[in-house]
Amino acid sequence: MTDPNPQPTRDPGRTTGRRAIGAAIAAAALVAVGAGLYALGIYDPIAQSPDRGTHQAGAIELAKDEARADHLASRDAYTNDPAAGPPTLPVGQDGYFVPRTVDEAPDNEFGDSVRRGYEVFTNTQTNASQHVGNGMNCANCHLGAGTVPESAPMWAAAVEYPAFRGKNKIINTMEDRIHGCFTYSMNAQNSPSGTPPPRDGDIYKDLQSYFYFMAEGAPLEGNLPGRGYPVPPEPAQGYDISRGEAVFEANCAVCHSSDGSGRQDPNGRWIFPALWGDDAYNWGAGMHRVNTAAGFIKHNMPLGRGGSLTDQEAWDVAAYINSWERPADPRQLRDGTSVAETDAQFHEHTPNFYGDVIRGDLLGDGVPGEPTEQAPSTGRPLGEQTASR
Amino acid sequence: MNLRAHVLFATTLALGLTALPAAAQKLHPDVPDEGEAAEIYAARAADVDPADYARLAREGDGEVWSCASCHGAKGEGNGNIPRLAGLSAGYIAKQLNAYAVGLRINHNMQYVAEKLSQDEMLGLARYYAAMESPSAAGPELGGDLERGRELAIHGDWDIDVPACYSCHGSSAWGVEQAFPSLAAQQPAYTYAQLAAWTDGRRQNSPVQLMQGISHALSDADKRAVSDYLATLPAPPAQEAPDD
Repeated sequence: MTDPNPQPTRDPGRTTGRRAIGAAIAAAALVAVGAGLYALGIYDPIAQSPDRGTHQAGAIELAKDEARADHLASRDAYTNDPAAGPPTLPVGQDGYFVPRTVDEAPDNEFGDSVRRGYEVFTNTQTNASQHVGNGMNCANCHLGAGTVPESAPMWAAAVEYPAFRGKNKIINTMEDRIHGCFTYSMNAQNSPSGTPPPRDGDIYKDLQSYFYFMAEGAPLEGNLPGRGYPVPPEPAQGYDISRGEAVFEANCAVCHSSDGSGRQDPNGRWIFPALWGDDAYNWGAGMHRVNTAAGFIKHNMPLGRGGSLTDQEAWDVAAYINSWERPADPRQLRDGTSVAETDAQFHEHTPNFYGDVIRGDLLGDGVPGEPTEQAPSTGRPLGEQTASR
Repeated sequence: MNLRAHVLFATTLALGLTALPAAAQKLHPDVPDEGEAAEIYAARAADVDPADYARLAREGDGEVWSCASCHGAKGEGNGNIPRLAGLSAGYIAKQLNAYAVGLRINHNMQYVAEKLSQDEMLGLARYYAAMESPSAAGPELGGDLERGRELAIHGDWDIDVPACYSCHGSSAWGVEQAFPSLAAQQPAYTYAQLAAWTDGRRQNSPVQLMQGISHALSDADKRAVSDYLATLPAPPAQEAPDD
C-alpha cells in the first residue's frame, strides 16, 4: 500500500550527517567550557567529589607524618654531628606543632605510663574517680585528648612548667598545676575522697608522662602558637548576660540543656558536661572568668563547629554561663573567709561575676552539694574495652 | 547582558547563597526547631498512652499503612529503612513532624506522616521508644571497620570531626531526647542520612551539627562509620513500656 500524499523528502543521509557533526561540535564545546569551569574550581562548593574528605584528611595526616619524620631525622643528625644544625620543628599544614600520639608510645614501662596518663585524661570520671567531684573529664576542655590547638593543648603546657603563677604566687611544677585542675575544674572537694590526688601519686606521674611524650620536639618556653585558649578581643559593646542567653539557647542548650545541667547517656556517663550548678567547675576554676571561657568557646564550641560564633557571641555567652551559681571557691572554704573577702583576694583582677548579685542572688556562696557517696557507676565505654594498646 | 546586569545578577546570587544558612535557622513555622525541640515533643508525648497506638503501628489504619510493614515487627529496620526500636520519643516525633511539613524528604514517610494526627505521632513515638529488640544490622557497605571505630570513639580532629560517642553516648545508645541512638542502626540508612546532610536534602540537625560533620567525612568515611555502628549491640528501651 502506498502513501497517497508522500512527504517531500530531503536527502536523509546528508542531513543526519550534518546534524551529527554539529551536535558533536556543540557537545565538545560544552565539555570544554564545563571542564574549564571545573578546573577553575567553580563547581567545588556545590558538587564536592565524594572522596574529597578522604583526600583532605589523608593529606593532612601525611603532612604531619612527614613533619615528624623530618624532625626525627634532623634530630638524629644533630645528635651525631653538631655541624648538621639544629633539629626542625615538627609542624603540620596549618602551621601548628605536631605532637606524638599515644599509639606511638614505646612498648616499655614509660610507654605504659603514657598510656595510663592518656586513659586518665580522656576518662577522668572513671580512672581518677576518687578525686573528681563533678561531671567533668580533662578532655572536656582539652579537646582531642589534649592534642587540638587553641584548646589548651597539653603539648604546649608541657614545656611551660615550672613557672611562677599569679594565681597562687609561687613557682608551680606541672604536678602543682594538675593539682590545681583537680582542686578547681574537677571540684575535688566534692569527690569521694574530698581531695585532689595525693601528692607524688601515680595520677600525676602518668599524666605528666603523657604530656611530656606528646611534646617531644617542642622548645622549652616555646610560646607555641595554638597554646591556651586565645582570647578574642573584648568587643566594643562589652559583654552582656541577656544577649548571651539568646546565644546559649540557639547554640548550646541542645547539648548542655537550657538549665546548664548537662546530659548523661543511658549508662549514666556524662556526655555533655554541666556548665553551672553542682556538677560543674567551681568558682576557683579558670573557666569561671569570662575572658577564658570566651577563648575556649570561640575556638572550640559548638563541638565540631569551632570558630562559628562571632567574638561578640563568644563573650556574651561566656558571660551568661558564668552568671549562674556553681560550687564554692575551695579557697573560701579553706580560709573560712566571706565571699566579699575571697572576691577581693582572688577575683578582683579578671572579668567575672564572683561576689556580684545577679538575679537577686549573691554569686559565690556556692550551690549546696553533698559529697559524692561513691565512684561514678561507669566502666569503660564499650568500644574502649578492646582499645587498650 | 551589560556589565551592570552581570554585577546585579552575581550580587543577587551571592546574597541568595549567603541567606541560605540564615533561612535554615527557622525551618518551618509549625515545627519547633530550636535546640530543645526534641524535648518539647517528649514533654507533649508524656500525656499520650502508647498502648493506644500499638495497633496503628502493627496493622495500620485505612490509608495509613502500618509502621511494621516496612520497619519490621520488632522495629528493627531493614536495608535503608531505619531501626526505630530504642530511639527516643522526642526524636521520633520530631522526625515525623519534619516529614509531615516537608522538612525531611522521603515519599513514603511523607505520605504516611501527612495523614497522622499529632497524638498519633506522639503515641507511635513512645511505642517505639519503649521497644527493645535485638540487632538486625551488620556491616554491608564494605566500609573500613577500623577507620569507622576510630571515628566513632575518637573522631578525627584533623578535619574537625568529633567522636560519634561524644554526642550520641558512650555506647552510641543516644543521649536523652535530641541525640538518637546509632547502635545497630541499618548501615544503608545511616549512610543515606550522612549523604543527605552533605547535599542539603536533610537539614533538621540542631545547630547544623551533622551538616558540618557530614561535609568533612569522605564517602569512604561515611561507609566506614555506618558499618562500624551497625556492629554495636542494640540500644535498650528508652523508657519502660508502662512509664
